[in-house]
Amino acid sequence: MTPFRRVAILWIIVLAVFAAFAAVWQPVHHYQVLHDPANFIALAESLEATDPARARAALQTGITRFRPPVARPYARLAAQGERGPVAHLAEFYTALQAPPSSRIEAIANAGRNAFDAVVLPAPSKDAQQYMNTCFATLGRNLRFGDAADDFTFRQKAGLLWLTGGGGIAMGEIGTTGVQCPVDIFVFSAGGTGGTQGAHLLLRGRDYAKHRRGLHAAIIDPLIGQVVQLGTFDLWDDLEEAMRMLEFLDGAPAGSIGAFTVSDDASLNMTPALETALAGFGLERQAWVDRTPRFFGLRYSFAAIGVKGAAEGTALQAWSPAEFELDGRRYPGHPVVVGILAREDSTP
Amino acid sequence: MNHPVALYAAIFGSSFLGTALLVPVFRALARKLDIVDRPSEARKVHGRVIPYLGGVPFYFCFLGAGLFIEAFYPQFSLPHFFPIAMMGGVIVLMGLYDDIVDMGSLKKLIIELFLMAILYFWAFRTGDIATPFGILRAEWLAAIITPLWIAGIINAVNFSDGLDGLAAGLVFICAASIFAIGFKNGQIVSCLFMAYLMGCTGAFLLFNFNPASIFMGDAGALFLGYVLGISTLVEQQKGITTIALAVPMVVMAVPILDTILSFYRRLMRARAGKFFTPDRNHLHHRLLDLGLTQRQVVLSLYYISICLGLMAFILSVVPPNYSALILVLAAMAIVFGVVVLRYIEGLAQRD
Repeated sequence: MTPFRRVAILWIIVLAVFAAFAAVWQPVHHYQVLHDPANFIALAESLEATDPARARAALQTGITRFRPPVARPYARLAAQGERGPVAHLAEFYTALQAPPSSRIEAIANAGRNAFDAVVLPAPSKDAQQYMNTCFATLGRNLRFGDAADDFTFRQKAGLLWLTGGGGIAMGEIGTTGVQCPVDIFVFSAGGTGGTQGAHLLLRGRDYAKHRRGLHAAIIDPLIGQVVQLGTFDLWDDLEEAMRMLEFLDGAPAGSIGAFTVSDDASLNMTPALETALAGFGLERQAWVDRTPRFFGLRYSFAAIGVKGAAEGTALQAWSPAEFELDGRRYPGHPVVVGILAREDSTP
Repeated sequence: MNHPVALYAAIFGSSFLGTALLVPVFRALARKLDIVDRPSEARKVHGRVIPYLGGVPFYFCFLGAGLFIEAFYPQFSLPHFFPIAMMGGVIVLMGLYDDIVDMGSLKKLIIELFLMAILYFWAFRTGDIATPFGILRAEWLAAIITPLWIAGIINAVNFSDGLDGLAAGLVFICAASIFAIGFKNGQIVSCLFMAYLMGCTGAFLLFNFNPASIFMGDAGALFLGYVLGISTLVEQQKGITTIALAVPMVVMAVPILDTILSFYRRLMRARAGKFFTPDRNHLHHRLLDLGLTQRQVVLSLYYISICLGLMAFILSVVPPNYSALILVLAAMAIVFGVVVLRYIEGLAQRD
């Protein structure tokens, strides 16, 4: 047998195996892409004509799992008659993608319209200061520049409300049933803010440090004093997860926990630590690699909970680092959660 | 980081089993088609006819592993697995051609560089290079480094395939080291690649450790080098795909050093027009010439590789400033080793 004939035989064997692989791989890959939960917009759009109820459910589930920083899913839901903040979020995300010349005005309008819809109460002096601090960082991260200084209070408050997904509440911490004795604002810019993008604001000061990781404050539920404070670099070191676990275990039952991510805190987030955080009423809402997690790589994440509260009752907000739609990547944004204390519960 | 340990075990187990089952089939096929290595050249160290084609099952197991992950663990599938598999196929075809017809080093190198350049622009296209001092952003540099790096690793593994069990063993040790580092750093895709490599090479050593009953041939050596090279590109650091070279450079220092020395010798011979002519001066040849048996040479090189793997692990846990220092120390230790080897060779020649 000539060498070239032997080569031909072997090449045919290898090519046949590759062809068989490709024949199976392509439909499997196609199926997986279609059924990837992150592709919920495509799924919903394909169902809209035939099964609008399923399309709507797909959009609602997808928005809950992925918080896409892009207008399309919110606009589609609003077009189907969905009430609540979806129309304002559609306006907000459209504004974020507007050309630079009109972006600031569009964002300001989105903020004002959101404020008019939700009617936030007049905040205390402290809360106004917190709003300004958060807003200054938000402005830097969303590229408003100095233009944000001209925004009215209504526009600022409305935008903070939008970026928290309804996260600024009166008195009660989420649905825990616990009244917060002081005004608290927790802000996270995640990866977009680097180490400068986290605020833990209460009692007139910012308790977050300019360091990467998960910042946590344990607050006395009666007098509103910070009793424990810690920053845990979960990006860098697994031992930080164990240190944080001890920190959370040491917090007294019923105490308030405030948490914010600076840059990233996802890489060493262990299951045990997730369970400990869930013990503060926090919920794994974000879908990362098809698994429910608190947050993924470089997500922004801010939360206020109560130790011992049922999972899902805390006040929390998050935004992905980015979201891919039709081959284009849309960056996420900073988030804020805040509690405006009722006058009768202020110590 | 929540590692899918069961998936690692499944990939390792299926690659091990697949290779163990397919190698005897290809050994029989190689004998039937007379695709064997005859001990005719001076640089060959075995004394009997040994069949090639032991490396073809590596590729089939690679395709199987990719398909398994895509079907059952899509969250860990590589978005650009298909182009990687396709280019891997071309590498295997080239290796098979070389095993039978001998296509020459120059042609092989040109094709390898060309294929890797295509792969870079098709699948990876990262502009970020991870150095001990931080991430360097330079797309033009990455476009040059990527094909050179992968082709370099391909040839390093190919050059080390000169003794029974040497290439497979070195790849196994490198893969185990990178797996340990990836496990510590939460790099799931990298761990999957290494679990596959450990499974394949572990099973192959059952047939290839001295005295070998089959060789992997260029088809296997080139493909193992390709997978090792690619694995340095697949992982993301802080959400950015980077070319991370420091750790694999230390882990694979033995074959890389042998390649660099071989390149240097070839440059010396270039004036005589013999740049692309192979010689019998590779590290393992020189150790054999000192009177060590094949097993002793292979086990010595395993030992050095394990030490370097441990060093790479330390490199991955220390701060970046210290990692540069460790790299310098590793380079100094290797240079010292080469000097000692030359000294011993000098003594042996005098005797």
